[in-house]
Amino acid sequence: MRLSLAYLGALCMIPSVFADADFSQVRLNQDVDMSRRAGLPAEKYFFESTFSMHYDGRFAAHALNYTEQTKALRDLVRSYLMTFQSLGIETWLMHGTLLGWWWNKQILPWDSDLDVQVTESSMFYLAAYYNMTYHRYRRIGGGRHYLLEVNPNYVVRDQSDMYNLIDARWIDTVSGLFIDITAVRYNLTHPQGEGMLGSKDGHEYRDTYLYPLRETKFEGVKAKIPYKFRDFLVGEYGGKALSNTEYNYHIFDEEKMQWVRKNPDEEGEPWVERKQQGS
Amino acid sequence: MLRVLGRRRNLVAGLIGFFIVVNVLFLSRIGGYTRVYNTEAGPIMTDPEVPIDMSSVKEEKPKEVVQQPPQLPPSPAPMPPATSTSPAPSTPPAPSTAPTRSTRPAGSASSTSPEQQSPPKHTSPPQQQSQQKDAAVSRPQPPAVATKISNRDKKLMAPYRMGYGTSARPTLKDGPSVRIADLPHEHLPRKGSSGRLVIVGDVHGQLPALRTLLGQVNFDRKNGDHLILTGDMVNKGPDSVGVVQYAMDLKASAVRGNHEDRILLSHKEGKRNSNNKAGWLQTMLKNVDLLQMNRTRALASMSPAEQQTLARPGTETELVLASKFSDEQLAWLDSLPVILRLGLLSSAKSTPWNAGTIAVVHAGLVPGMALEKQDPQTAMTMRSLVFPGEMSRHDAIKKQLQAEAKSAKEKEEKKNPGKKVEQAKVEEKHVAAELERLTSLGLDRMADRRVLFPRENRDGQPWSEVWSRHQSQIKFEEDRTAVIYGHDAKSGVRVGSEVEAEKFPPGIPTPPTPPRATRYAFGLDSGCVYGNQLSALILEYNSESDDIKHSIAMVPCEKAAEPPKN
Repeated sequence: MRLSLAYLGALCMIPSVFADADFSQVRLNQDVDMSRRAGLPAEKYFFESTFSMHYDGRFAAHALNYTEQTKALRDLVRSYLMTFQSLGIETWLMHGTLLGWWWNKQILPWDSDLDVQVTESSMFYLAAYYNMTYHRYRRIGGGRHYLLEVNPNYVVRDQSDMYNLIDARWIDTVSGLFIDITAVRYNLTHPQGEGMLGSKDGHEYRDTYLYPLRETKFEGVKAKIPYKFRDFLVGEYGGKALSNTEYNYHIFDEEKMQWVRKNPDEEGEPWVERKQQGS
Repeated sequence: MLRVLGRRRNLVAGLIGFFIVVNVLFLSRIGGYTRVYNTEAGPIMTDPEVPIDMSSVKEEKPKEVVQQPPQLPPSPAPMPPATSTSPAPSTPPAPSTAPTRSTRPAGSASSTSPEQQSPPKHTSPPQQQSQQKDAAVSRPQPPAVATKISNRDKKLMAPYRMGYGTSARPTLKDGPSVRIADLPHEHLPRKGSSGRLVIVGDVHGQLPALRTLLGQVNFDRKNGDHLILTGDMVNKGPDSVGVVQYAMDLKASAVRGNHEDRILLSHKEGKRNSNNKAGWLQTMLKNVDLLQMNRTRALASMSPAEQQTLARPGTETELVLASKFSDEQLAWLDSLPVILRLGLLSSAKSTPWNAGTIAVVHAGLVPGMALEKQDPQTAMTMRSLVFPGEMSRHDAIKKQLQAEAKSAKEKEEKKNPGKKVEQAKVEEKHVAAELERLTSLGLDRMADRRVLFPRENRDGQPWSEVWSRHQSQIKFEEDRTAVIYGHDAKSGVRVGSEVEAEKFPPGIPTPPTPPRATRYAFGLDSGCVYGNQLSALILEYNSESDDIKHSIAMVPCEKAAEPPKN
């Protein structure tokens, strides 16, 4: 039964799907689609909002402020990790999110971009059984729904399509914030031989660096990180990212084990880079 | 009710505090203003503010105060001198206040005091700059710098806030079971005992070599001899199980190396992922061959639940090896500490063995951090130490030069429309020249070398040399720590009695350091598994000199693995 459903799903999906799920189909609270589509090719699947690269315009009309965003991101990552754990799908922290783990097992407060990875086979599994599913994350005050949306281009294994580097998204349907999920695939023709994993956004590493995954906690929830997490971080950000206690208008308070704003009264969010680029 | 009162009280206190601050600020301005004209040394005016902010305001509520200054007219007259003169360099009376100032940026910089922010606010709008300016002022300045330091330079010269290991990093759930253990005292060599400590480097499954080595040094437990292994006893070589059993039979001590750690971790993960608790390892290994034939296709056709019954790709060799050990052997391996503390050798008279602590670790330790604070993963993998401060400085200068080259190019293009202008390339020599220029303006480059960061590769300085220099500079010998380690086969044994002095990059005004330092870190991995030697360091009591002395023993090994290329 499940399998036949999967085939059906695959049949419907694969023939030229343009753009993410239609606004009218997924809209919940909003009347206007705030996605920035102008000037971008129709082959791009996921669209970001007109006001920020880190929001989904189908679900939000404006960016949250600093405090609200931090709160929403925390729930976003908690709901993601808990849901994936209960689905039995292995996922691990990467990039900026891993750096946040290094400092205090929390999201870096200036980072509105969360990064996680899954294996290629997990991505197939997600696409077959869980694409376009809503997941309720219960919290005091009602909680909210999160949408798991898979980019049909996940079947493309190479990095040729620069507009579809993200394989799936975990989307907060209230705030529009999302987590980019990328799949790592074995590169069968890598010059360095067997065992090289890579994601479409160009990151490559050997499977022995990833496995065995280490179990830890992130934002108070069970999470996994790569075996050689230090190599990942130093390779990507340099040693200074693991020792600078001042960065991006924030200072790391070693007693509280928290990143705090350098000038708490400063208006606005000077670290936000609103670069408009395809992702 | 109480809450409201409390809030009000705060407000009142804040207002009073604010009043004092504004008044004192105002007065100090005037004082500074007059002195500027008396001494021709402009920046004095920043100095009187310091004691005030330390005593009267502390760090209570910068909230009310910070927001206010722009609103009231902050004495227009005194401002011009402040803007026209450079802050602080060449201020004769400064030394008296300098020490109190210099502690500030390092301490509670998160509560930026209002006084320090408000005066320069008019000269440079962004708050960050004004803060950095202050920080730059607090550094010891070279004598008689008459030139102005531009805001750009000040920004590039601002000290970094950095730390490594000063706060507890997140621990890992499945990390090593034991971080630090103490060696029982009866094993320590001392006066009146013929027992020796025989400390052997990375064995990597080379059982015959280990036997030969112990035979060569006449190792005898009845004599009181005790064997310590520096980790990486397993993997690569032919008989890992034999080595572990031999060590267990000899009641040897050992530390956990990165290879033991990886095998134990892979084993734990496999066990955790498996539903079939009893025969999980065999089930997993059955599928290793299948996976290796066409891993991707095999994986893609399985559900995550099915995948979990397979050996994790990349850990097959570890699981195969783990399957060969008995539960007892695995438990012994898991009980090994990351750091083994030998304690104090009471009969030792001379350096380095009269150090207060002697420790065995697989890879290395970060100087300046207590043993308890050392990161276990790093202690099993590090090889060198880098200065992130220097790297940040280099990057910041390069970025600045690139930005300047870009704006120069754009300017040129604007001047001559239609003409194509090449953007000047920023090379290393340009960065070096700029660094030198900033040094001449008073950039404290030694401050950038204060924080050390461990690396697994050999990019930085060998950690054992940095460690030895660091320990040699500790005043009392009982506060020093001597370390014996393995891990670094490429560098080979490092057991010479002294290490070279620190080498500084050109242009740093170097402090006077002794030309050589006593060795406090002894490296024992001489690459046995690659066909080189297996080495041991022997610590024993020497009755002739009434002292603890060390000697080195080595035996040749059969080659069992190819050395890594890099």
